[in-house]
Order: sequence, then C-alpha cells, then structure tokens
Amino acid sequence: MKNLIIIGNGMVGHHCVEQLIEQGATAHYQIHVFGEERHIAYDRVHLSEYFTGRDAESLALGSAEDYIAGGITLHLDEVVISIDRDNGEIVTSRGRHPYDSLVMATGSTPFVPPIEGLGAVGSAEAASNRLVYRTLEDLDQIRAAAKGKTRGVVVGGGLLGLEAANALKSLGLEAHVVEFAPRLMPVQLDEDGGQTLKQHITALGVGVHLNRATTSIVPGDDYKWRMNFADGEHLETDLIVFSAGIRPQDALARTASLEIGERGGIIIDDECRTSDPEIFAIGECALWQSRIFGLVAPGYQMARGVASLLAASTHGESDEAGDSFCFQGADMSTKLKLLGVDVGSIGDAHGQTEGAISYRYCDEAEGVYRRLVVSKDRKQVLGAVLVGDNSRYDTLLQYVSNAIAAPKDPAALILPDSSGEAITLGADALPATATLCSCHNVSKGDVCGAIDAGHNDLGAIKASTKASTGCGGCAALLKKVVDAELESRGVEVDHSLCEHFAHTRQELYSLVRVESIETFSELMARHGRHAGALGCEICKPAVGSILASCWNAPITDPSHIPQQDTNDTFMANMQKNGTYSVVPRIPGGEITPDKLIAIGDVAKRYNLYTKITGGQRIDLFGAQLHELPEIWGELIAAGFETGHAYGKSTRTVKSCIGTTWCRYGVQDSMAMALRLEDRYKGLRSPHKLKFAVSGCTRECAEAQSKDVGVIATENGWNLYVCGNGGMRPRHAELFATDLDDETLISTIDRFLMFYIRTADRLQRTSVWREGLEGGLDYLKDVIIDDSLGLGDVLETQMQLLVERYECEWANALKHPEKLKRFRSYVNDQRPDPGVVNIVEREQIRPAPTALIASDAPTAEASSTKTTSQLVTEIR
Amino acid sequence: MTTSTLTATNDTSVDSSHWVTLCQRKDLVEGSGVAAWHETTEAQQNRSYQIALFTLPATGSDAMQVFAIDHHDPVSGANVMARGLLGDQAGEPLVISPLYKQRYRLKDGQCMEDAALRLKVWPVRIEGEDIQVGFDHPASARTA
Ligand SMILES: Cc1cc2nc3c(=O)[nH]c(=O)nc-3n(C[C@H](O)[C@H](O)[C@H](O)COP(=O)(O)OP(=O)(O)OC[C@H]3O[C@@H](n4cnc5c(N)ncnc54)[C@H](O)[C@@H]3O)c2cc1C
Ligand code: HEM
Ligand code: SF4
Repeated sequence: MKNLIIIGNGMVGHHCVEQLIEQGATAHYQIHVFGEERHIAYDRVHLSEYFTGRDAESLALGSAEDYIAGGITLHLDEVVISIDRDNGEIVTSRGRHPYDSLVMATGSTPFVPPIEGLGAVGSAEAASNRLVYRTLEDLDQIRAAAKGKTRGVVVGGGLLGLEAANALKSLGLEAHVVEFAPRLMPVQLDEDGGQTLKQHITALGVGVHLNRATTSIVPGDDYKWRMNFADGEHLETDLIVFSAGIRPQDALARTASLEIGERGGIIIDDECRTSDPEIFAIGECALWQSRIFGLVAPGYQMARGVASLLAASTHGESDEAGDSFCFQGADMSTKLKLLGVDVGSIGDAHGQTEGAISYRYCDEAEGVYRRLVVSKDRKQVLGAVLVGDNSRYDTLLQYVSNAIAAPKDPAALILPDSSGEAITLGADALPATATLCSCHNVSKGDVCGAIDAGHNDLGAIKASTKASTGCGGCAALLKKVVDAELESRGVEVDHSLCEHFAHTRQELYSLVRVESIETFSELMARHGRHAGALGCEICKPAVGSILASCWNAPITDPSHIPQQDTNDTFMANMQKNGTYSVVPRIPGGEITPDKLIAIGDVAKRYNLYTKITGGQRIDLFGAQLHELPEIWGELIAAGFETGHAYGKSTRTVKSCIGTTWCRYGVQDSMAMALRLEDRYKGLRSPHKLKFAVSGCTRECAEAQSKDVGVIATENGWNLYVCGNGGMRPRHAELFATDLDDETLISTIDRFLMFYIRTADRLQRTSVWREGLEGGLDYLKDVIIDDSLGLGDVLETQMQLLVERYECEWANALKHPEKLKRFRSYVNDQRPDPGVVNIVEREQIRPAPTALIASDAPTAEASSTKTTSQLVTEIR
Repeated sequence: MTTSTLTATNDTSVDSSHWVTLCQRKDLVEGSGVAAWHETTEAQQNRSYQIALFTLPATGSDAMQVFAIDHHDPVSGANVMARGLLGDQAGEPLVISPLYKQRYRLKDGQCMEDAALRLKVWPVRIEGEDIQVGFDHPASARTA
C-alpha cells in the first residue's frame, strides 16, 4: 500500500476524500488527512447559518464514522508544519508521516490590510478590532466580541463582507459596511447594480460607506474604536471584522520550495500537480493560469480530478482516454441571496469583451436592476448582472455557458414579461459540457458526438458512449437529451416504450384503466405490436407496475408471475452473487426491543449480513432462495411486514422523533410518519418513492430531499414535493403550508396518484416535475385548486389501493403453490454450491470470484444444512 | 399430453440412452424458469450441471415449449439464469439475465449484445409427465 496524505480538511479536501472512497482508491492507499481546525470539514458556504440556528454538527459535511468506514485516518486539530520533500515526509505539530503522494487543500486566509492601530494577532485589542469571517472559530470570536455591544463594522463590501454584515445584524448589532471601491461588490456588479444593491441594503438598516480607505484605528469616544478614513471622515464602532479579500494559504508550499505565483498561490498544471509532480494542490490555495478560484465548485472539480488520477494510477494502466483529467478553468458566475437580496453575476458582467454592447433595465420602485451584455453583432449573450430578482438567472446562464444564439431582440431577455415573451429554455439547452453520466463521465457533448457519428437510437448511443450503463441513474436524463437532439436534427423520435408496444407508459396506463385490463397477456393481445409476443425487460416490469398501481392484486398470482422482474418475483433484491437481501418494513424507523431481537435472531440463525440503511431500517443480506420463505415466516410471526425494498414502490417514511421526545418539536412527527407509511406502504409507482417527516424546521429527517417531505409548523404541516438525493440531487419544493392532518393526507393522495398517472417509466418525481409543462404552478392548480376536476377521482383511486393492501410475503406464505419456486433446484434439496462467502468484520460477504473454484464443487460441498456456506476466514 | 414438444435444438442427434428425466411437468412455471441439478457418476468424473428450464405457454396452435440452458450467468459468475425474465426480440424467444440484463437467445444460448458470450443449451423432450434433457454422456448418470 502506498501512503497518501491530504493536508487540509476543508470543503475541497473533504470532497477529495469522498471521491477517493467512491473511486475505490482506498484499497490501494493508506490515507491520512490532517486538518488544522478542531472540526471535521464543514459547509463553509453556509457558515452564516451558524448565527441563525445551525450548529457545527449540522454544518458538518461528513462524520468521523465515514472516515473510519473508508479506512481513512483523520487527524484533526493537527497542523502540518513542513514538508520534507527529500525524505518524502511531512512534519506535524505531533510527529512525522511518510507519503508517496501528497494533496494540499489548505484553502485561504482572510486578508487583513496593514492599518495603524490594529491589535497584534492574539492580543486583547485584536479580539475586537481584528476579527475575520472564515471559520467556525472566527464566528465564535465575533459572537463573544458582540456580547453586550451595539455597533459593528465590516471592512470590505464584497460578497463575504455583506454576509458578515448580515451576521452582525443577526447578532443584534447596528451594522456598517466600509468599502474602498466606489460601489458594493465591485468584482461582480457594475455601478448601477451596486447602486441598486446599496438601496436595498441601506433600507435594511445597514450603513454603507463607499470610497473609504481606513488609515488608522484609535480608541473612540462613544464606542470602543474610532476608524479614521483617508478623506478625513471617521466612524466609531465596538468591533471591526475584516473581509477585504482572501490570500491563498501557501506558506507550507513556500517553505517546501514549490513554485508560488507572484501574488501568492501554489502554481498547478492542468492535472493540479505542483512543481513537484507527486504533490497536488486543489481548492483555494491553488493557482491555475494565474487565477485563484474562490468558489467551491471549481475546487470540487479539482478534487474529483485528482481523486481520479490517484485512483487510476493504482489500477495499473489507464488506457482509456476518457479517464484522463484536465482542469480547464471554471465558470465564476454566481447567484446569491445577500441580506435577503437576490444578486447574480454571469460571465462577462462588466462588458470587457471588445465591442460588447449592454442593455440595462432599472426599476427603482421595486429595486430591480438587470444588465445584459451581448457581442458586437448582438448574436451572443456574453454576460449579465442581476440585482433584486434572480428569476432570469438560469436562463441567462444557459445562453452564456451554452453559446446559444441570442434572440433577435436581446432586450427581451431582461425586459419585464408584459413587454415581451419571457424566454425560457428546456432540457435541450444543457451545455455541451454538462455531465450526463457521472459513472462513465459522459457529457452532453459526447452524446451529440455519438449522434453525429451516425448512432441514432438510444441503444446504439449507450453502447458507443457507455452513458447510462453504470448505475443507470442518468437513464431518464440521457433519453431526454437524445430525444431532443434527434428531434433537432430532424430525426423522427419514436416514443414507443419498446419493440413490443408503440405506446408511452402514460398511454398504456390509460388503456389499462379505461379498458379494465388486468393482465400483461391481455394488454399484449389487445395493444401489443404482435399479439402473442412475450415482451422484454422494459415493457414487462413497466406493465407490471401499472397493473399494480391500478388494481393492486398480489404480484405472485400466477398471471402476474411472467411479467415480474426477478426482484419482484422473489420479493427480495438479488445481490451480485445470486443471493437475496431481506428488508422488513420498520415504519418511521421505530422499533421495539423485542422486534430488534427478533431480527437479530433471524440474522444469526440464517447467518445473514446485517446493515442499518439510510432509510432507517435494517437490511439482511446473503439469504439463499430456498431460505426466503422460512425467514419471512419467522419475521412475519414476529410482527413484521415486507418492506418492498425490491419494488418500484414506497420505500420508507423517514422520521425524526418529534414532540414525543424532542424539546424542539412542534408536532408529533413520529405519529404522522407512521400514518403515512401505513397508508402508502406497497404503493407501486413509476419509480421508488421516499418520504420523510420532520417535527420542526430544524428538519432532522431531511424531508426536503424526498419525493414527499412533510415539515411540522406551529399550525400544522408544510408539504414539500419532488425532491430526491442520488446522483442528481434536487431540493423538494414547498407545495402547501400549514395543512391539518386530513388535508395533508388528501393532498398527498392526489399528488401521488397524479404522478402515477402521468409519469414516464422509471421517472422519479423530480424528473417528472422538471418535465411538467407549467411547472409547480400547474401542479398546484391540478392538486390544490383541482383545475382538472380530478381531485375526487384521484383520492378514490388511492383509497382503493390502500384498502387492497396486503403484505405480499404474508400472502405468498398462505399459498404453498406460490412457494414452490423458492427452491434452488426443482429436483434437489441442496443450496447453490456456487454461493461462497468469506468473513469480514465478523460478518459474511460474497467471496471475490477468484476464490471460488471455477468448477462448481460437487458431492462434498452438497450438505443441505442452511448455514453450510463455505466460510473461509481471511485476515 | 404425451406429444413431445419442439425445441430449438435438433434432438435427433441425441442418442436415446442419453436422455435424463430432470423433473416433472408440474415443477415447471409457465412463462418463467426453474433451475435443475444434474451430476454424473464417479466413473464419469462426478461432473455437475446446473440447468435452467424455461417454459413458454402453449399459444393457439403452438404446443408448450421447454428450453434447457445453462443456469450459470457468465457475466456475474452467479448461478441465476433461471430467475431471469423471459422475453422476445424480433419474435425470437430470449432470457434476460436478472443481474446485468444481457439477453440470451433460448434456442442456441447466443448473447445478443456480445458475440463472444454463448450459454450452453441442451435438447429437451417431454415424455408423459417427465421433463427430459439430452446430455452428451449416457444417462446412467445418477440424478437426485
Ligand atoms: C462566509 C463564506 C461564504 C461563502 N459563500 C460561498 C458561496 O456562496 N459559494 C461559493 O462557491 N463559495 C463560497 N465561499 C467560498 C468557499 O467556502 C470556498 O471556496 C471553499 O471553502 C474553499 O475550500 P478549500 O477546501 O479550498 O478551503 P477551506 O474550506 O478553507 O479549507 C482549508 C482547510 O485547510 C486547513 N489548513 C490550512 N493549512 C493547514 C495546515 N498546514 N495543516 C493542516 N490544515 C491546514 C484550514 O484550517 C482549513 O480548514 C464562501 C466562503 C465563506 C467564508
Ligand atoms: C442496483 C442498485 C441499487 C440497489 C439494489 C439499492 C438498494 C437500496 C436499498 C435496499 C436501500 C435501503 C432502502 C430501505 O431501507 O428501504 C437503499 C437506500 C438508499 N439508496 Fe439505494 N440502491 C441502489 C442504487 C442506488 C443508487 C445508484 C443511489 C444513488 C445514487 C442510491 C441511493 C440510496 C439512498 C440515498 C438511500 C437511502 C434512502 C433514504 O435515506 O431514504 N441507491 N438502496
Ligand atoms: S426536526 Fe424533529 S428531532 Fe429535529 S429538532 Fe425538530 S422536532 Fe426535534
């Protein structure tokens, strides 16, 4: 094993660790991470929320357990003092550690200009006149300094300075901003934009002092300090926070004689290598083509790239060109809410491109300012400035990063809607550089390339680009892009589900419902392309899901067997070695000690691997086919039901403890979670459904990342919809507020049924919502205002499904003929001798294939006892 | 009930002494698969076979069809083919691997995505209630 050391456990260093784990580099490297701060990496971008209710723990980006699980040693509160390149070692405050490769992610430090009268670092004066705004510790100091005081000044009117001013305000101080330049946010905004922002901010009671250079700080008369400015003016204050820019933290690199830029920053090449090829630098400490990137996204790009280089170097050869990484700079466009004011800056916001022309729209009444910068020939949008309203940001950004041709009258892009068509862009407007498939790192450009090379159906494009052949999470997005691209090239796009049905999923759903079709063969006979065809892995599960969503008959009934995918057939998820996982439902994650013991007993008896999942329940892995009925018999006897982890259906309702125990809870989130899980369990849908309920706005259940999220308020429940985690996370959107219990349920009923009716095959609610014409407002019209008059129908249909619910395993166990398939072999009692496990961390796991003899073992391995798997200990 | 069924491979090449009864008609599942075990005697080197048996239901004029194909999935290395989904592509019956979804033609085991992958297939016949598979070794082999 080689030694890899990462210096700095900030946002970028942490992301690098995550990527190393994900890309499998932990198997080849012994990784040590050193962080100067006491805290594990936290979300600096949301640092200000530390003053508005969040604590260090909730800002943390990872946990010590994650590091341990990844086999990574994390040394917090341990500063790296020097790098001994000759011996390949680093020296910390506590000792020396060898490295083969080194990643520097030391970030940056706030710049404090040399001003007469500043307290020396660490002095009593500094505790109130030399504060900065970068770390949790800094914020603790500001909080301490603000105690019992009335006025605070921030030096620096940039993005961070304004955040700091907001923080002072939230501590109850009268806040002032002192800026050297003639306007606020000089980097991002132009003069009018800065002016508009100033209006907003002064209206909020924050003092704005422009064109002020501080020359000295002396004791004040009315307040503790007096700041004297170059123009003779002065301002008194209790405390001073500096936010006058950042300086890359490159001291360590300097002493190690790595190449440093003229104005600081560790010089890196396109692979993020410093002048020593075994040392990488990423994030805000790195200088690429004379630029420092002071945002997280570029830092994350670097982290991902370096992780892939390190992972690839351990896989021996890396012959695929697609694997190489080349940092190519990053877009510095920003979209912010500062002191509650929208601010956006895109591309060439200052119109510095030669011949650039600007359009400006200014509404002083509403405090809205928009500037559009276009090329000389008015065909390209180059940049934009937005203040007071960011609703056009996404569209304008698409125009810029995508080089989409500007409309004939570019001004329409910034004029109010009434004076022109509001211009929005659909999914086809993703930039060519946008990554569609992150498993294989396929961009939209790669997909277009494949189309141009003559591949004009999804299958061929998948085969040639490998897109969507990894985890498959991008399948829907890929199809959207391919369809849009083909359509734009004039190729007629076939919306057929597959070769067996010339219909979309939505059309099949309507046919099933309208014609009361109850089996796959009936649907094939009436509407298939070839009446007697067998179907395929696309249409069979899709139709199975539609039938279940409409009629909810037991999926193991003989007429339904042929269309179920193996997971549904055996009501368990097949794992990579042909064994299954068993997932009992644990509603809301609430479980009695007796039930916990029952699960433990079963797992022990059948020698199953157990793991607590992110869905607040317990998965049991490694069950063989013939063991499933016995295992479920025992689980059901202990009071469990199937968890439907195998189906495209309701998974879990995650929940926090709520008023029952929590001192913050305002509603009984536990009871609501149980009610929701009980109502929607077993509901089959186009894709899996995840729910969560939180007992107050602290949102411990992370409901805003779910398809259906419920958050308690003083007056009832707020409902959020269409969120998800996974590879393309999406925040759920607020759908309705302060609902009572019954209205909450009926709203969710309608929402889910409408989704089931209208979504495409394997389309999560998030993707469905993004493709919905009319967006969230349309959805509200249909669900809340009942604009289609569907409300009652949707609720009745849901009620039918709820009434027909039956635990599928309980049903199967009642019908012996359904169980006859649960045998490894129809003519033999033995378990599959091909299933070989090893023991790791005191539990079983499948043996690597190399350990399994290529010829299936014969008689000596054929004992029929359930726990007779060959178990080899490895150390 | 006693008509032997058509299978995709030509069963006349199989010596009648090589037919082995693997299971009964009632053990099959229509429109889906089951797995069967077969092993040879010591004299025949104790070889073992895992065989997936798929049943296409009778439709109109066509009799029920049974196919025997290797139960071992070459891509995952797991013995799971019998739990794959049945389907067809351009009218040709297939089984789709339950793990990574490759498609294999039932008649000859050819993988539709990868020319290099081919599953072993065996001829099948139905004698009364017996489902028999033809091996290339004599049927003196012991079956459980
Ligand atoms: C208040 C605030 C708001 C922000 N808002 C946004 C925003 O909205 N959008 C955006 O894109 N960006 C924003 N940023 C910027 C963003 O936080 C940074 O780009 C990002 O944190 C940089 O990550 P990094 O890992 O390079 O540096 P850091 O997160 O600073 O991490 C560097 C770490 O290395 C440690 N370290 C340094 N030297 C050593 C050593 N010798 N030994 C051990 N450890 C060491 C440091 O203690 C630190 O913990 C904001 C920043 C702040 C302060
Ligand atoms: C074949 C692939 C996959 C299988 C078999 C699988 C299976 C599971 C199972 C069984 C659970 C536990 C859920 C429960 O307790 O009900 C789970 C949870 C989860 N899975 Fe997967 N998963 C797969 C792929 C993915 C992928 C690709 C992602 C993300 C990119 C993902 C993200 C999650 C998350 C975030 C949870 C936690 C759910 C929560 O907190 O609500 N899964 N998965
Ligand atoms: S979300 Fe739930 S657990 Fe978290 S603070 Fe609120 S009530 Fe308590």
